[in-house]
Amino acid sequence: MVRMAENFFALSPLLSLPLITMLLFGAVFIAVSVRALRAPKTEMAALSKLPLEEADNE
Amino acid sequence: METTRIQYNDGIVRKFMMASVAFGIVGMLAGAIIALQLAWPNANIAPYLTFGRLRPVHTNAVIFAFVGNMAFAGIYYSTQRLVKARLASDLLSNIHFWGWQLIIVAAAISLPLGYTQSKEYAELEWPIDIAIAVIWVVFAVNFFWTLKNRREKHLYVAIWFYIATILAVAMLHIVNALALPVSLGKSYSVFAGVQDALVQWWYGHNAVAFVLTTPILGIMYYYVPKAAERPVFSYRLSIIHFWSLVFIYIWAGPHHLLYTALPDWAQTLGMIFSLMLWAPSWGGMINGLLTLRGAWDKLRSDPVLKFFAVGITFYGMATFEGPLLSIKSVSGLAHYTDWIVAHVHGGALGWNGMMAAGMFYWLIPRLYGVPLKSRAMANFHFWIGTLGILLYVGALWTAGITQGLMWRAENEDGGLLYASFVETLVAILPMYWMRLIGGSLYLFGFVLLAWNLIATARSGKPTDGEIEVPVLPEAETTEKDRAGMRLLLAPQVWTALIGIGLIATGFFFEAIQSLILIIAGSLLLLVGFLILLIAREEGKPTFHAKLEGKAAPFTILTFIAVLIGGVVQILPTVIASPEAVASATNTPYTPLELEGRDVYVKEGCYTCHSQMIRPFVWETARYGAVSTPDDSIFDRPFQWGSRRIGPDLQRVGGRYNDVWHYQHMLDPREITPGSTMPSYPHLAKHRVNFDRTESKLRTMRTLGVPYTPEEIASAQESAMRDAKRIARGLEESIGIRICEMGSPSDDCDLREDSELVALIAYLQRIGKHRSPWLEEASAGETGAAPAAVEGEDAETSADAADAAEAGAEGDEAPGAAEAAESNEAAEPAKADDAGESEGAQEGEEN
Ligand code: HEC
Repeated sequence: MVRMAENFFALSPLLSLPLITMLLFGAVFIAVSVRALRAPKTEMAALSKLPLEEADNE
Repeated sequence: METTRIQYNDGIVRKFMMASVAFGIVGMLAGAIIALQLAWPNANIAPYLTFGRLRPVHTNAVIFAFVGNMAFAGIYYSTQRLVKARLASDLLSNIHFWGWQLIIVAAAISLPLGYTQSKEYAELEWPIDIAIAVIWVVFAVNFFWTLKNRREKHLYVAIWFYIATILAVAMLHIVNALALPVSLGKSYSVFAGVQDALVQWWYGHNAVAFVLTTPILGIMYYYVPKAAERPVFSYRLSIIHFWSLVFIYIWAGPHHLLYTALPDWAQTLGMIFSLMLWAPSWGGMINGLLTLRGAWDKLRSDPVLKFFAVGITFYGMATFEGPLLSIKSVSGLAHYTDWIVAHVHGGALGWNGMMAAGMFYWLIPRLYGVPLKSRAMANFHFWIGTLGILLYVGALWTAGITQGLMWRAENEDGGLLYASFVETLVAILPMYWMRLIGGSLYLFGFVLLAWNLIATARSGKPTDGEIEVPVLPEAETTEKDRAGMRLLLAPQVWTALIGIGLIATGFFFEAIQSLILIIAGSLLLLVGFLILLIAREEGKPTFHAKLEGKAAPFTILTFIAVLIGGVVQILPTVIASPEAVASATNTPYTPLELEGRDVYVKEGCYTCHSQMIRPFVWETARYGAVSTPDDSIFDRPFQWGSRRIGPDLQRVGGRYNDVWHYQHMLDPREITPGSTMPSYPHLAKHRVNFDRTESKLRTMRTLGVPYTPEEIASAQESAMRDAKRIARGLEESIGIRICEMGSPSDDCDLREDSELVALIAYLQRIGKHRSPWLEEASAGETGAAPAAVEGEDAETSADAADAAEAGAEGDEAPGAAEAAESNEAAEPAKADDAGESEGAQEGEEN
């Protein structure tokens, strides 16, 4: 296993970058998504109304 | 509760809006002129108005003057209302406005004059770059100060996009603009070759992301709900949209450099992240369009909603096309062609322009207290603008794909079917005219917009929004600050930092240790972050909910997200650079070649010519051997280019003789009928200031180019000697009249100390690892073929030159400096130039 990995990365040592960043992105993405989807409805509704709160001055 | 009435600063919004419209028209007009020049080269009427100099005027005007001012207007208007506070400082607001306009004016003057760093969308020279940084800080201070004064605890998603914009642009601009000045108007990039390309496209791509996309998305999230009079379709989706977009965008830069000399891993990285980018982009598009869902009936009559609907649709199209173009094989076809230009204009005209128009039509009645002067005209603008985009994009899609296919087409024997480059150019000329028509229609639409806005403003009077807000007790503000800082020390943040730290350390080790470190770091991030982020105690707000209420920690976290991409992507290449220079077979440019290179940069030859041959048979057959990192290792800035309106020049050195270049530069159409290259007769008279040559070499040496102290000391002398030799060679071959070095009279065909002579020296050097002068001197000794040959035998001659080069290196690789000395003895003219002037004419067939 280690051997295989060694061979693999010998060709292109920096190939780990894209792989790792994919993982990293996956983590953040999942976390943010889960959090966004689990957020209480009332909170989301309140936030989304922010732009409409102030009445226009005309 | 005690309340007070505040008035918003809408004066600044009016100013930015009008500036945006004015510069938008100027920028589009410049676009129309360069479009005309490509279809009809006689439109290159003056030296400072040639395509190479005007193209940066167009791009910079549209990006920073039109969209930049539009974004500032949109941000200032919406931020005040979203946080229920007046802009913190009227003084800073005004400095921001006038400073930005001054920068634009400085750009509009300096670019046509040829002051340029030649890095796309970052062409401005260092004094203006510093001014940009200063004004950007003024903007940031004004913005964050306003956030600090806010009366609405929660930061609406639009604000997040604005924060990301401010941070990312600051970082990108500063890193990419790093350069060492030679004089007030000239500097050399601290990065060279591959590095420079990587940094530049990390910047260039993210200029699209953080100047043309994130601020406009913030604007979308505010103005579309306002115009549709209903909240955004899904606030959840907007959260996901924001984080994934900011995080992914910063990585996608290398998709501009697929199949180039950039290391493989960086290319793969760019491609993967570009593909991923599709998801959040479409999330955003769907969110925007579905917000309009309940307002379809109004869409018929309301021009604002129409502009927004089409703008968002083009955002979707452009962000679908972008990932598509990042797929390597698609890039292989599309890169360097007009397809990319079509893609960009789908974004610029479709997304930015339509969103800008929608926002202005929505704002103007509110800023002047009267209804829009002519709704009918706004509707007409909408239709004519949309038609303009379709014509424009349609024409350039066709042009791009046609030319891309022609470049690679093979005949029965496996050779190039269209061996002549001009043939592929002539084939798409009709499309260039159609593009001009489409663009002009679009421009006309904006003239109507300007008229409509001005007429509305005239019929009303400046009106500022007002609001009744509670008075904030002093204590509450400081308590808020402290809570904010505590949030920064939350376990989530530490987990993230440790994880990122582990990964970053991984890059400094050998493969297997690095793998372990990186995996450990990622696991920590994956598991820790996931658990911590979603863990929620009953009744207490989540981490993210707290975060949304806190500007400072939110800002810092966003900055980290943006920073990782930059650091991890750029660092390895930058670190590897000194070793690469030490092991390079390439040698630094001679003083005259360096001067010639600066002329090349100044004239913007890179706007039409690439110097990057990709590993495809059809490219090597047409242009010569594939480019290597070594080829551009001393190139500050790099000149890989992004569009082939003319042929690649990576291996042009030695392909033609000096006479050919001389005649071609004076009038390309005489040598190559059908060429669209501008004529450069003025270069024959413009003088190179050789007094500066020495300091140029010294600056280069400071940056790590291995010039010896002797080479630097004799730079001026060497440059003048080589220039004399080239000019005298031309005189002997074709009997032109020469003005002596430093002579006050211009009554001749060519000055010895002219920019043209220096440029020819550079052109003959491109793609060679040693100056042809040195080569010739040694080739004479070894009896190899001379470097200058007719165009017809380009292939074989390139080989011969290579052979000569190899031979020369074997003989005297260590003694470059001595070889330079022995140049004195070399022949003044290139071998049998005289007999070649008709031979040279045949070069057109190549
Ligand atoms: C508007 C686009 C444009 C600009 C700007 C431009 N060129 Fe060209 N160039 C072309 C086209 C098109 C051709 C092909 C037809 C021809 O040979 O003229 C060409 C051909 C050439 C060739 C011949 C290449 C070959 O392999 O046959 C050279 C050398 C060259 N250009 C140098 C320059 C230099 C130096 C500059 C800057 C001073 C420059 N060009 C600016 C469009 C441009």
